[in-house]
Amino acid sequence: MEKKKIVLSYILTAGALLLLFLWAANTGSLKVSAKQLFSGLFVAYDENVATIYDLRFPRIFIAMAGGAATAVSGVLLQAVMKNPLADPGIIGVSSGASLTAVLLTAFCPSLYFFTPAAAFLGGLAAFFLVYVLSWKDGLSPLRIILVGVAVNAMFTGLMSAFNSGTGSSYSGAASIVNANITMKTWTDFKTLIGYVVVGLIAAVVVSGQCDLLALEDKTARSIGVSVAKSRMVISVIAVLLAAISTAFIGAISFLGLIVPHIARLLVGSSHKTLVPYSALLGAVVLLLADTVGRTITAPYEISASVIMSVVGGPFFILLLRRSKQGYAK
Amino acid sequence: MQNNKEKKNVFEIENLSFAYDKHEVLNNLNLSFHEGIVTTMIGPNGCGKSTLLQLMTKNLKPAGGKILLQGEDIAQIRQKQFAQSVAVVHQYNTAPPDLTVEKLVSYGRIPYHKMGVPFDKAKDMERIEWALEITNTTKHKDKTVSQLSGGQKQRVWIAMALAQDAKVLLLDEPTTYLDIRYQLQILRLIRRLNEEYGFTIIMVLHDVNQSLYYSDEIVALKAGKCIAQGSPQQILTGELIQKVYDVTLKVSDIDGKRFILPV
Repeated sequence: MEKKKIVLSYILTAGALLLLFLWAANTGSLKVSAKQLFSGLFVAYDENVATIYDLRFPRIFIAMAGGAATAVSGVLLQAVMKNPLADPGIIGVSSGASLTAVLLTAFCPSLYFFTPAAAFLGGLAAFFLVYVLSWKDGLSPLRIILVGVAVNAMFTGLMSAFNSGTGSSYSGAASIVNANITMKTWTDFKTLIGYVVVGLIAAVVVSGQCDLLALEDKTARSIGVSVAKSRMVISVIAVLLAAISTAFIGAISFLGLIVPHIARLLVGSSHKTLVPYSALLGAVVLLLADTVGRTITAPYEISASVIMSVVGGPFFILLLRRSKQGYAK
Repeated sequence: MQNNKEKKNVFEIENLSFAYDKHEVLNNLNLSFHEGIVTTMIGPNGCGKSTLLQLMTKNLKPAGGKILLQGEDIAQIRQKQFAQSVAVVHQYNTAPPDLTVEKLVSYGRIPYHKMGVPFDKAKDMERIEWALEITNTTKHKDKTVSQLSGGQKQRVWIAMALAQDAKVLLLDEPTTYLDIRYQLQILRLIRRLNEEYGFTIIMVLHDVNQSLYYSDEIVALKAGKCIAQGSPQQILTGELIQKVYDVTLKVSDIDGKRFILPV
């Protein structure tokens, strides 16, 4: 990839994120101009800006952090499984995380603080299931997806069953079950961002390893890579990122699929540029989905995950049809 | 060619056994590979030669017995350290479509990096340049691997292995899929690496004439057993061909060189 194209992609995407941010901050009953927003935040107190700061900002930042985490999780899973169709939502990692997070919230509300940890364990369990069940003389890309769809269906079903069977009385779990980003506070964001930053830094650190996994396993081994160990470390980081975002905003399908795919077209397949760029683009896409969901049927809301499914489904089919060529082989 | 009678062993295979599920491929194999020469393994499909190569490169784990590299059990050698002593060119390779040749060859330096960080950049550069040059791929270094022809690709994979600075080079059917011109290019390169740069070469070949011409020593395998080992002129006879491949071929000596007519 040409350096110029990479730099340009980064700049334009960052610009898009900024514009989107302003739009998202202005979506709702209160309106402020960019100038008013800036002065309200940094210069003098402004009542409207303060309200937006308390109510809309956490949601915007959570959407961005969750989007970045989910997209990078997708990149890492694709590297580990050598499969451009791997996505934490599609293969059940997110729903495994949702289920354990919901169970914890329902049965031990006092342990609310450990929701991320519970989600992480659930995500790991789902990932392990998919990996083991689809292993048969190596990992066939299509088998991973098929097994993943089944695992995903099972966990989603268990979660719905639990939710219906208890009369949906656990409101704390509702936002995870329905995957919406409403009613979020700065406290939520502060918890989320800590994990996300750790996960993203870890992802950047292993990005060199991701590149090497793109070679045949034998070849990677011949240049001294401990393939199994690399895979395990990268998988754990991927699951952490997906689980953590699931614990706060619910399972978002297709985001981890669409973003890395577009990112590869723009900045190439070297993970040192792909990982940070996917984080940026993931933030843009999820914030866009959330803001569009807030806008098109206002005052009602469509959750970001629904928007992602509607847009992502056709995209996935398109990728599936094209995957015979190139990278997927 | 070396006439050294006191050959040192680079690899020693001791009572090696291996099976894929219930299908036994190697059973109690004992074999030595000698240092400083070109050794070629021949044998029919499924005789275990590729499996043996995979075992010797730590890609498979033996079910029984062990493999020694210069006296040390390879199971005890860490992957990274092993990669500094032994480089491998596999039969089938893939790379991301936008990976450049130079970047790929630079992967050969990974065994010398610590926590993914280059340790001696000048040395890395020097070895990469040398590897590109000797494989005649310097002019392609900015192209992507996917833009290259089959023969060029194979030379690039060899270049990556050479950048590893390992004195032992293993190649699994390096000429398969290539036309005759590229086959000869690769084989001459391998010969040169041995004669001029002192590499110990162990490879698997299918073409008996090429193994005859380009090797110092032949190891003939059949059904997981070594049935002959020695200099090609001595052991590659019609009788051995009959024994290994179950076919009768005409073997003739023309101008002091032996040829096998594979038709």
